[in-house]
Amino acid sequence: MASGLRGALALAARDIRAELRSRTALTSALVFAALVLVVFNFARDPTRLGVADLAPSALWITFAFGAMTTLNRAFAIEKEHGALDLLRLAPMPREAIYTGKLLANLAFVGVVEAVALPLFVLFFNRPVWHILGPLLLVTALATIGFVAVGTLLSAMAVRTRFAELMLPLLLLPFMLPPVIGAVQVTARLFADRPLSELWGWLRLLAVYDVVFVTISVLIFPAVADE
Amino acid sequence: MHETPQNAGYMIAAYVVTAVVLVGYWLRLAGKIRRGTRD
Amino acid sequence: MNADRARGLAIAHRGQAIAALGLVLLAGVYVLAQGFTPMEVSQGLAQKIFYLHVPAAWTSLLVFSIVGITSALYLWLRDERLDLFAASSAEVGVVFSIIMLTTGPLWAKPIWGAWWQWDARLTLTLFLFFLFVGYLSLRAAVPDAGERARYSAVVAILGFLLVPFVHLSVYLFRTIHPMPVVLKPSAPSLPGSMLRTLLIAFAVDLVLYVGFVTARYGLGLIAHARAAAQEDRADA
Repeated sequence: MASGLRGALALAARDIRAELRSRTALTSALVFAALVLVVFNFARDPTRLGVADLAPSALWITFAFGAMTTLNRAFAIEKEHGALDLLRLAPMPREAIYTGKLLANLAFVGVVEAVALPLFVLFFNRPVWHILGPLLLVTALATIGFVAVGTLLSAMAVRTRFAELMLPLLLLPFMLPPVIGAVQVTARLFADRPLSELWGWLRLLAVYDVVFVTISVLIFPAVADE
Repeated sequence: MHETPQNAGYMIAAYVVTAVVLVGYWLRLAGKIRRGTRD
Repeated sequence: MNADRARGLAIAHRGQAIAALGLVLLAGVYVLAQGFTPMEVSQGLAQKIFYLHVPAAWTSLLVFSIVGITSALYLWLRDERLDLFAASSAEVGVVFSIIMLTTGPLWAKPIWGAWWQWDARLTLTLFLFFLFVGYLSLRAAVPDAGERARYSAVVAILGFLLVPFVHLSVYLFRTIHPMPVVLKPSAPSLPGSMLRTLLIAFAVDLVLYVGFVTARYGLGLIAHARAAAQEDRADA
């Protein structure tokens, strides 16, 4: 168990170091985030639509697509280097390989979100200090859910023809509950609604994370084994 | 007592679509079976 | 080798015959729904779409559950017949979903005044449809048979687990789809003749499912036999 965890952390560290060298995933995700935010700002008619009405959707489109781009890149790099087959031969539990990839992907998506959020505050002129805690909580809950499924699916997608298309196609249905939940919570946060209104959604997001992280860890050997 | 709405067109469209989809799928399978018999 | 192909062909032909019977019975359902089932006064003729839409919806949800369960069994037993059955069912399930997703808006437009609503049940079925289109695309994109079976089983199992979440999340949002009139704890709140037509239509859809899935399964056996023959030729 402890050695499995060490293996997972080592794997995640290796991925993060590789990404720090190339920064391709990060750059493409950031450019994308900036583009979405700019388009949203200019498409809005300020006399008819308040910033608060648009802010939750703009934020979550940015996060969702940024995450998708990141996930796609993460395994594409793996494929270019042919490292996947080496991983399969590595003397570590399959569960640890999955956990390592999950941690690395969470780190990448987390960085994209951490950069997109200040951009968002800047462009939308929307202070978030007073709701930062709950906002980070809901972002984390939603992100863990779809990145857990995305990591599992991308391990399969990369071994198919049309890999770049396959991941979004397969992941789309699994993004629905986390993103709907996150948008609902974010909208209520921006509208300064009481926290008691958010419990139902937060609980749903938390249960989603538990279910899909567990099933992904359990089922990953079926993907990785020959 | 309100009037019964006149919307037969939608119903006909739905009945036609259903028949086209099911018969179409049957024909598709039949074509594949025919190709399976050859060679 | 040829024996396998002959067996596949026999199964495919039997499936086609059952499905043909189902299509004839479907014509019977059309006659029954048009001529022998009373018109619903407040909705008019559009209400008769119900006899196609609801059975197709029940069938596709049933079939997708079958795919989920067979896929879990496949990962456990690793019997490739289970994989072939799951794949065949998924394809037929997509066919019934297409009927459900086209007849639904055709009913909704005159009755709700809009083709589509982001309602719990509509969203759920739309995303199930996406999921199984993804399932079939994945199958088409994985060349290795063993990998294809395992990958698609994983997707089907994940999809099975996703259903309650999509339902809950959109239910928390809002719902305007008519509440169940048949499958509910109390007795069905539908006039007897309408219920009879509905149940007959559902039975006919099940006949069609059995026929199509059998035909598709036989076709799968033929493809297996052909692939095996090609391998033999390559080895020789």
